[in-house]
Amino acid sequence: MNKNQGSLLTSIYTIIALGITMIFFFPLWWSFSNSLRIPKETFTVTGVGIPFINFTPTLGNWTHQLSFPEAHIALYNSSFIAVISTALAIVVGLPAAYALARFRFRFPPNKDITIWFISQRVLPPAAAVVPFFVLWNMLGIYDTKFGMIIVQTTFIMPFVVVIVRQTFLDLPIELEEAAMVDGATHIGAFLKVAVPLSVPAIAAASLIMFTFAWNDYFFVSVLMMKNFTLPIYIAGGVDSRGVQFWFIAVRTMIAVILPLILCLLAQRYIVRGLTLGAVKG
Amino acid sequence: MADLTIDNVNKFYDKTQVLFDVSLSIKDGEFIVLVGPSGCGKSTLLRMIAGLEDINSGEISLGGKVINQLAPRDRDVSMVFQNYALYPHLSVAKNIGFSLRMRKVEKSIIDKKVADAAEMLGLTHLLSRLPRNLSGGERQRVAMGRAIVRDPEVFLFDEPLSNLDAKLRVMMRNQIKEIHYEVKTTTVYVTHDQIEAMTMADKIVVLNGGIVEQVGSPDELYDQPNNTFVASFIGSPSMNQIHGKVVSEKGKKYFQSKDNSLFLLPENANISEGQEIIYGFRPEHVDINQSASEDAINLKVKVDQPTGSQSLVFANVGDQEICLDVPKSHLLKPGNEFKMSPQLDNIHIFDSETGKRI
Repeated sequence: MNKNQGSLLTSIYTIIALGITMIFFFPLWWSFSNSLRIPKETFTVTGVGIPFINFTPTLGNWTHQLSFPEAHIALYNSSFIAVISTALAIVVGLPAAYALARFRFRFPPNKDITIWFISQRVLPPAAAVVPFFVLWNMLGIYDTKFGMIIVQTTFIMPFVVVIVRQTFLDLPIELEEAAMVDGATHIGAFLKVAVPLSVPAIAAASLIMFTFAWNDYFFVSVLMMKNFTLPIYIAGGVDSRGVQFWFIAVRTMIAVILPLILCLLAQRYIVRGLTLGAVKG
Repeated sequence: MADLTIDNVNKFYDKTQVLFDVSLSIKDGEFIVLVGPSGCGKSTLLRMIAGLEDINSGEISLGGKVINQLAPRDRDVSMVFQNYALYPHLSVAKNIGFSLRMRKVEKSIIDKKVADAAEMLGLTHLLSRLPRNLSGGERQRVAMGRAIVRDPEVFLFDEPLSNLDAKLRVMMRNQIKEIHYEVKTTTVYVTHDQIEAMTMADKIVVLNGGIVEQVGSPDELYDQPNNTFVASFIGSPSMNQIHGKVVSEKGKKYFQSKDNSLFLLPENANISEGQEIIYGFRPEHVDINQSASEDAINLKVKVDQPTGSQSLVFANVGDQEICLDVPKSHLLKPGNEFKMSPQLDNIHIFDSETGKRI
């Protein structure tokens, strides 16, 4: 550490933070490292598994896995369900967030409606899955992407409602009033003024929602059969031949890549978006 | 162009009444200022004209047409907000042109009108900037531009200058007046600053606690305040108001304050001996020392505040403090005694119970 970069204390904090980060990220690193090894090297590699130093890397596992249609189906299903669910949650959730921020409901009052949205996240998914299973079978949407999108949308929508509601609350109401005096309808003021100004919060909420829908294992495992998604596909690496660590590693990496890219793309919004609701700017 | 009429308007927030039977008629092209202390309902009234607040009872009509139920966008009014409410994500040009785009005006016409408005307000070089890169005064002018570009029936201003520093405020006051001379649009302007009201208005409406205390030209309000509230609200420093009663001596009527100081009353005043009254005179309407009349009273300077050529002198009549705005003099220093008599033509007498002008 060089003296110009801060005091001794800052350096110590940085080292501690780095250490903690490395501990938490080690499994991910190990997966990456493992995906580049031949199966027999899974347990024999020494050190921390750095390619070219501790072992000779190979793309064998990757080419093997990516050549199977299952990987494509899982990737496609996961992407399709997560993207459509997120989009649907925004389309339905934004007006809800706006209504909660700008209108006063008497029965039930705004606070109760907001709590009700949050309660969807508090509810253990296991409590809801059996009714869903029965209903989805009756409606004939069991094991369909459509059915899964409805389920995911239901469970991720609270994020957009709660996060963006707070952003709407923090927006000066005069902006929308000015738009209405200037000739916009209330919906026009919402779409042309409130929504564009909430883009950072919407981006942050979208990313959280996308990740939740993308990662969900529980509902997919119960409500889908032939139509599986990436988490199920990863778990499928355990079969009669034992745990195939090398394949699981590849599948995990595939599952990480898309959210990671989205995260990097939305990075400048996320930090602002996540603090937007909390701190008045 | 149209007259704006407000007829017996009442407003409640839940069970609290904030406006009581407010009636006003505003002629086409008039510059009306609503003035009053905070919470008097002036902004609420303005927002009701804009359509941003419901009207609980009564009618607001524009050009003879009742507009109670019309959405803000259908009222043909434009409004300048206290915090300007510029759209932060749009450039100055887009901000000014917003209302025209909402009304689906042709692009070439929008560009021309925006350019004209910008020219008028000296914003031409800022058209491509975002609001966050503008100074307070520039933002204020953009807000004005957004209002005038549309050529509405009525301009509404909600304390537009209160976020500016003193110097800029005086400048913007002129600019708003200039624009009003030029476009002659009916204007309703809300402020809590009586100086702003006096300097800008054709007609001032003094509101207090949701009630219209007085409507009149700045001169009327200054010379003939209806009651003690208007008397103390209009004019700076405030009018001196002393409590006491009417007495007769040597065939003349006098006002006797609580500490038995005697002030001569005008002969034609419609008051009887023994009546409890409030005796009012403005700080600037007094004569002191040599120029004081024979009925002058003796006072002792408590504090003096020089304001340049004049000086504000504070003294006590009994336990009541009065303020006098007099030419600066070395004789008026704390502790010194001086003679003072209010000018007889400029005395205001109010009923001590109702506070109404007698």
